[in-house]
Amino acid sequence: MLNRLQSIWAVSLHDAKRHVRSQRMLILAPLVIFLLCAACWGFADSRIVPAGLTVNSPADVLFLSSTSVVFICTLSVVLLGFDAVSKRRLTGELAIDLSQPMPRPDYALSQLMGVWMSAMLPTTVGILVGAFLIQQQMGVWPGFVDLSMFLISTGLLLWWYTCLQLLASSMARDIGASVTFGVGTWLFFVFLWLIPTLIIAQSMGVDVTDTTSVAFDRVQEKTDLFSPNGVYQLLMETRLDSASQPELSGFTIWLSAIFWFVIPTWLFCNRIENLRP
Amino acid sequence: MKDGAYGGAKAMLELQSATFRYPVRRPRRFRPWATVPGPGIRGIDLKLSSGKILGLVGPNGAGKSTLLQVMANLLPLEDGTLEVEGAPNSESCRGIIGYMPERVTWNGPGSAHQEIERLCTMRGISASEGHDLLDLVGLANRSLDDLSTFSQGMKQRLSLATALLGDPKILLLDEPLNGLDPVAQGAFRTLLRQLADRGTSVVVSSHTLSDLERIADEFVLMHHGRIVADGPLIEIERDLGLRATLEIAGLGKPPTSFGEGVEVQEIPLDDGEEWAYHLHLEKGEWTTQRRSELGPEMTFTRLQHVPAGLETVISAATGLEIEDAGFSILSEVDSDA
Repeated sequence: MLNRLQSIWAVSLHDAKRHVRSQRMLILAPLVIFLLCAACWGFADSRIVPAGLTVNSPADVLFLSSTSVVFICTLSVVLLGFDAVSKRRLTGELAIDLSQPMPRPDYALSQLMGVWMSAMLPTTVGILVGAFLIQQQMGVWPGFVDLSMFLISTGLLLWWYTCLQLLASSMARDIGASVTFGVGTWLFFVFLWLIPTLIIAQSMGVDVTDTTSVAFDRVQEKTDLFSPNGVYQLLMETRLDSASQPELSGFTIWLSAIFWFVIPTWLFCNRIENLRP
Repeated sequence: MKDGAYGGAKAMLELQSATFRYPVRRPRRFRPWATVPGPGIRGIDLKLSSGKILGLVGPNGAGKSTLLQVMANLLPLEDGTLEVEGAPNSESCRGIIGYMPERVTWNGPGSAHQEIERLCTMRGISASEGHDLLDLVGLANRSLDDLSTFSQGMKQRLSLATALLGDPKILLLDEPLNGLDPVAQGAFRTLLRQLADRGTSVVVSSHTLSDLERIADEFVLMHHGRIVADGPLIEIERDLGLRATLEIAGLGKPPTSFGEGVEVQEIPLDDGEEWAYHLHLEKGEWTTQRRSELGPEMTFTRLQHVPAGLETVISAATGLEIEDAGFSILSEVDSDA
């Protein structure tokens, strides 16, 4: 078992290095780091916080900064991983990989970890520099638990997107289809998720013209459990003060996070297990 | 595959009634994802002996690459069995199999050095072994260069190095000579022979028939996903009823009679020879009885069977002629003439 874990780790490190050295990382990494830092710096400055947002603590800043994670970090996963499987399949390298004695589920995990680690690298740098900037603006460091929660939640979100993207990459018949699937999924969860939420609320008899009502909030929280971004936001909300806490219990939110971790991972492993190179 | 065709040598890999067919999409009104079994391989019986080089030949789409992928444990069998060293096929069997796919277009980013190290990790062997193989295939001085700068021949060498990782007992090579320069092809043939002499079973699929004739001990001819002929080339020729050709040369008085149904053709003499002929036999093979017909006191310097050639054999086994290749240009040339 230990040997298997060691080889998964070693192969994923090789893959992560390859992604980190890629040209697209040269473009994405500065963008990710810059946006995270800018968000932390901006939201920590009470003078320029948009009206309607209250920022009382570094935890609030981290929560607001998480929107940049949802926009740019998830997109970076899509752009780093869209050809992780499909390109190797087209070039014939996948056939060589799959003919090795490494069990296919282990290979699948190493692929996931390779893309995930490469996406996490600039994100983690951005978050840590952002924490420093928050301290510079507010004179107080974000709490260790708050910062850890931000990192863990972000790590989970990027893992979920990695799974979805690599699943798409393994199913796509060409690289274009893989990009379309990845960007489409990203667009759906980032911009269009409100539509199914509204449809569900409407069908449950909730007034959808008032999206600030308590009834709509409850429906939204529940539907958010079925969206990676929604679960991420709920996880981040658990660190806010009691007035801003979600109605759903922490257990439900974490259970949903675990499901989001296990099911796409299993789907991808299963896909690789049955993949024809 | 006929039992005993390979002299009872130890079977490294055995396929029995192996069938794999690629699913082909046939959308229906209420089942747009529906598929039906398409091309592939059907009912393949094949025994791979240790220390032999098996040439896999056949026209395009015959199922050669599919058969290699089935043997490499990359495609699941729909029917039949695959045994490796007498044990049922499993993931661990891949440890003794080296597979080189057809035309891998290594694109990077990264170097041959990094790729080989990664594959060494996947195989659970030391990276130094991989570096030695890069040296063996002549890539040592380019191993740190980006793969995008590699020529097709270099990429082919890298693919060969990856197939040799872990000193596999079974080596499956799909069109390995593509893109290699003539010197590299010669070195490659020598390497394959050395590996076979050490006991490695080698399967080579190639369209370069002249090269394959020089390296393979036995052949498997495929057509429409099935084996249509197999064994040593001379046996296949005999089974197919091809006209046998005997090359004879000698000293002294040349033979005056060659027996019935024999077409005689003079051929160039080697040093010291006084006569040399090709004898085209109507059917069957040369026998000692026929030799005696030439005269018992003849002094031969050459007396050997001349193979009909793989091209002729493939054509005879599959019934395909040049017109069947499907190139419309051929019919146009014909009509112009």
